[in-house]
Order: sequence, then structure tokens, then C-alpha cells
Amino acid sequence: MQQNTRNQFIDLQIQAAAVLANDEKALEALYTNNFYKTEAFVMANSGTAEEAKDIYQEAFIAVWQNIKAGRFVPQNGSSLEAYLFQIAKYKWYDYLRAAKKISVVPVEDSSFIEASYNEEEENYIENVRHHFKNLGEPCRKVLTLFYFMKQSMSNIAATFSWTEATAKNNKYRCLQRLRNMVVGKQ
Amino acid sequence: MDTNYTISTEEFEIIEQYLLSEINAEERLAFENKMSEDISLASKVNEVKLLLTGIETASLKERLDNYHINIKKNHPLTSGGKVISLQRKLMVAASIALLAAVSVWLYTLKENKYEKLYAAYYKPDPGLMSAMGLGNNYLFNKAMLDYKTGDYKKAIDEWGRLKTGMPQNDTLNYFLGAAQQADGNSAAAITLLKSMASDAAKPFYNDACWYTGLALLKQGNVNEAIPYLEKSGRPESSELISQLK
Repeated sequence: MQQNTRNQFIDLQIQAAAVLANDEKALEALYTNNFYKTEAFVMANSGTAEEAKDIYQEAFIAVWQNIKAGRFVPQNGSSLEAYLFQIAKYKWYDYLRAAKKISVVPVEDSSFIEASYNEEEENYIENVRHHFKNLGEPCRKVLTLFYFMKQSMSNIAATFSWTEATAKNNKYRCLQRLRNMVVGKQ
Repeated sequence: MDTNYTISTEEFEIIEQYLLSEINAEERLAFENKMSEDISLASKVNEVKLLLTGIETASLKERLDNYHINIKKNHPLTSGGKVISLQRKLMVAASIALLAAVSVWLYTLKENKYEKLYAAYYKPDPGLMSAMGLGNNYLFNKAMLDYKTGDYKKAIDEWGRLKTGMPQNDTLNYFLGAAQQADGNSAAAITLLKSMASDAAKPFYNDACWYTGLALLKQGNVNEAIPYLEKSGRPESSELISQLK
């Protein structure tokens, strides 16, 4: 039993580290293995499959951001799966309350959900997410490869048949373009 | 958030190296010292951090949509209705809210004996425990969840729409009546429930008698209410009737 808990704890640390590194296999496994629980919960509580998907994705993003911001610290006995479900549940009750579908929400500890960013910062991130879609395909690809996939500049240069200097320049140009869209200087 | 400055390419570069921990300890310390002296640099660093987080989040979201397509490909049928204990929690919460609402109502109510008795004896039909299904059954159950969580208006709306397709469905008529009653519309409830309470062979006959009787009582129509209450077979009915006579 003792041994088992320790192994689980090590697994959790590995899993959190993999999520931190945007390891695609780890992200997809975490996403796929936990969706149905949230879907069942949402649909048993006045929601649709589409709403379940939206709430689940927002919860997933919150978990991922909290891991990045160091707010989720792996502890003995905790699990990412439970953390994810807890946040999804909380977000769903919050949504129901905002939509006035229910007046009373089960009282649960909500300290775990405290966002990593304040409202102003959340808005900024929302804006980035929104404008990112409007960037051209090459810019989206360069920025994704570098910031999300953590690929090296030389790899990225090779992908586009650019020199490394061009790749670097293009990346900054894309970044500036995105920032200008976000802060409204265009 | 003040973003009324420009960030040069050189600044971007050093800020990014700092954020991605690509500089050594000595450079890091020097950079942090500079930040503590230069507020505008500190806000630029914070902004770039948010910009990079936004980019990563946008990339992640694109991936999540792909993962989702894979889920649906591999499991085309949705599950659902498994988390009954959680739903119960919600139902308990809704009942407490209802109880609180009824107490406040009782307190402010004028001295109306029949309405008081109604409030004391009326408890909404608990509804059916449902497993999510497909088709009309699915729509029926969805409305049932609204009913059970206390959103009677939405349940009335949804069941009402279903009724146009199957006006003679007893279960539907009964629960539509139950929702109307719970929402305070006695007249609408009586119309629906009476038809069920007139034929002992109908499902929900006893319950329909009980609730028809209560709805009539609430309207002050005691003489008509009593026969229905008598037919309901509810243990509390004789106690209630004795207070009416």
C-alpha cells in the first residue's frame, strides 16, 4: 500500500512534468481519459453534449495554466484527473448560476480554482487567443512550433527552408504583429 | 493594463530569454535588478509573459479540438446519466432552496387557511429517475432534469412542446401538470391532472387525485377538493381532510 502510494505520487510528478512540457501524448491521454466523466456530469445536470465539451476544454486549459504557473503542486494522494474534474464541476455550477438555471450551488471549497491571472490579465490572454486565429498560417505555425512544441530555431528554419536568421526575424515579426492586434495599434 | 509603449525586437529577445530561462544565473540577477529599477521594463516583461501564455493557450485549444474529434471517432455514443449521486446533491440543494422559499412564503402569507394548508401538504412530485436516452425520450428526460432542479418554467416549455406531438401521453400530461403546479399555476395544473384523476386505470391515478385535490384546495374550492383527496389513498389525506371539515 505504502509502495503503491509512492509509485502513484511519482507517476503524478511525471505526468505533471509531461503536461508542463506540452507532451502531446500526455495531453491527449489526460484529455481523452477524463472527458466522459465530465460529460456525464454536465448532462446529468441540465447540460448538453456541446456545453459539456466547452466546459471541459476550459477546465482543461485552466488545469494546464495552473500547472504552468506553479499553482498545482503535485502532492501525495492528489491526482490531475481529480483536479480536472473538480475544476470542470466548479465551472459548470458557475455557468448554471450565471445562466440563472439554478439558484443554489453546492458549497464546495473553491480555493483550488483561484485563477493564475487577474481579470485584466485574463482579458489580455483572451485577446491573444482571439487574434491568434486571425494571424496568417505561416505566423501561426512558426509561433506554435516555437512556443508550444518547443522546437529549436534551427528546426523551424529547416521546416520552412529558411535560414536561421530569417526564421528568427520572422518569429519576432509575427510576435509584433500579434501584439499590435492585441493592444489595438494597427 | 497600460500597454502604451513599444517593445523593440532587442527588448523582446532579452525578455523572452529571461522568461524561458535561457540566460545564466548572473545575467538573470542583472536583469532582475534592472526590472526593479525600471517599472516600464517590469510591465513589459509581464505583458510578454501574457502574450506567450496566450499563444500557447491558443495552440493548446487547437489541439484539444483535434483530440475531441478523435474521441468522437472512437466512441460515437455518448455516455451520460452516470453521476447520479452528484445530481442528488443538486436536488438536495434545490429542495433546501424550495423549503427556504416556502418558509419565507409561509411567513409573509396573509391569514389564508387553505393556502397555508396547501403549503404544509404540497410537496412537488419528486419526478422520475431517468437514464439519458435518445429521441423524444431524451427530450423528456432533459426536461425532467430541469423539473428536478427546480427550473419549472423551462420544464413546462419543453414538455409543452413535446405534448403537441403526443397530446394523449399520460406520463407527459401528468408531469406537465406537476410542473405547472410547482410553478404556481393551479388552473393549468388542474386541467391536466383532472383527466388523469378521473380514471382509476390510468397510471399516476392516486398521485393525480392528490395533486388535483391540493390544487383545488389552493384555489379555495374545498368541496370539490375533498373527493379527490379521499381517492388519493395518501396516508396524510385523512388528516388534511379532517382540518377542512
